[in-house]
Amino acid sequence: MARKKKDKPWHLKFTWALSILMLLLVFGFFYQSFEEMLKIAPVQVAVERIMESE
Amino acid sequence: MTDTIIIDPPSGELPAQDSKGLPWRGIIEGFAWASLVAAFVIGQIAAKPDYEGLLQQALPDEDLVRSDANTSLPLVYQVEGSEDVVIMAEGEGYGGPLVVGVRARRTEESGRLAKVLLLSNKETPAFMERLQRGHFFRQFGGKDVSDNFIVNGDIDAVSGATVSARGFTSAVRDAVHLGAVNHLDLKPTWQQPGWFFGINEAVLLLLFLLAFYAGYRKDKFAKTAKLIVMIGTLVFVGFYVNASLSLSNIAGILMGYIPTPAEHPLWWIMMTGVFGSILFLGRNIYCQQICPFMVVQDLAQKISGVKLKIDSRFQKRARTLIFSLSWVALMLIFLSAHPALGSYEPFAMMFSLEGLGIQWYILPASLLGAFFVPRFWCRLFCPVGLYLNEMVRLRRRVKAWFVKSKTQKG
Repeated sequence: MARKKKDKPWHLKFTWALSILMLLLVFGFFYQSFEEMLKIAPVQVAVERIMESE
Repeated sequence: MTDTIIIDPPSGELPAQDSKGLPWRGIIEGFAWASLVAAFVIGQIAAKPDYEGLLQQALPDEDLVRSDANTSLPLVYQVEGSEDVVIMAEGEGYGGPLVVGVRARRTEESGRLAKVLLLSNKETPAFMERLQRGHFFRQFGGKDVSDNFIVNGDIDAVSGATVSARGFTSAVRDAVHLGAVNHLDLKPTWQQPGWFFGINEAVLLLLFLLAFYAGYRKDKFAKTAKLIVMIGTLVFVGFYVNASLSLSNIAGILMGYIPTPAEHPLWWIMMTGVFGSILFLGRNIYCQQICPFMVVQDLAQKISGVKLKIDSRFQKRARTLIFSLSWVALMLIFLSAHPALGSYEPFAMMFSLEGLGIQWYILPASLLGAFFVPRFWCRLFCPVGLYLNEMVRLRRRVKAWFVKSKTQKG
């Protein structure tokens, strides 16, 4: 028998939405930082330096 | 349905273990650790600066010839067609090393700074903005090479970016004085920087002492001490010196970016207070009393008077959520070898009102959360709180293990 889903109180929906919003913003910040990191190209530079030293 | 709203869990504390049920947990954790180590190694290999490249980029019209065979800083270059020298040196800032280039020119009696270039830095952009706005860099223009170059001596610091100011000044001082002795043949007449302990350091030390007192005693003065610490940390640690502990500090320590105690006693008092309280007392005194952002959140909550409960799905997974966020942040920090790049906390922006791009939205969103949910940021997103609480737990476990093994032996 399918159990009836309980309605969540409004404040839980609200804090859920707030938490998701904050999570999206933090991931937005990570994306912004990732773009900055790509300008440095650390993996490429590290590989080049390792190859040079061999 | 009842409208009773319960605050969960106790302030600043996080649920102990919430990810035991996750499938493939061991594999995921193993991958997380291995990838962090790999990112650290790659970042360290890539981060070694190409000093000549930096200098050529900053002075593209000059022909520079290396004056010595050194491969590490300080490096000295002769400018072709003139008697000027350019010296590169390094100082330790808040986020990592600051590399400067100083062009010194001989005068009749001594030498003069013709140009000072900040070639590379890993500081939080807000700190550098503060230095720019405080006209900090202008102070170096036209200075004599035999000047002292001591912050709070002949160089004025900028409040809220003192460690960065000291790091920059230290790098310039090393470069200038090396050039003065070795290339301008001057005798050292300048004052050497000594141990520095000023009013800022005294205030921070006092705040820690009061926080310890308030945490251990239950008398009348303990209440007063708690109030003083609350106001003091907001005004002083937050707005005045802008020295909130962030993930970038922890990552900086892991990467070996540790300033000298002689020049950055404020940093050392903060770290000794935070980690010392964990190690010797088994308490996370920073999150409980010193963190200025916690005070801001408490104030926001007091103003609104609302105490909403966090959705249980988020609350149960808070620990895993923050670990995951800090894994992404640490990957970015280690790969770029730039502690400020992955530090997603809104602290620096809150207290200096300077930020970049999306950071401007994280601060108001976290404050909005704090208006409705007590210590919203601390409980769901703060990596510093999580790591400090984890250290407290680890200490408890180690202590329990020692007690157990002692009892068994006895």
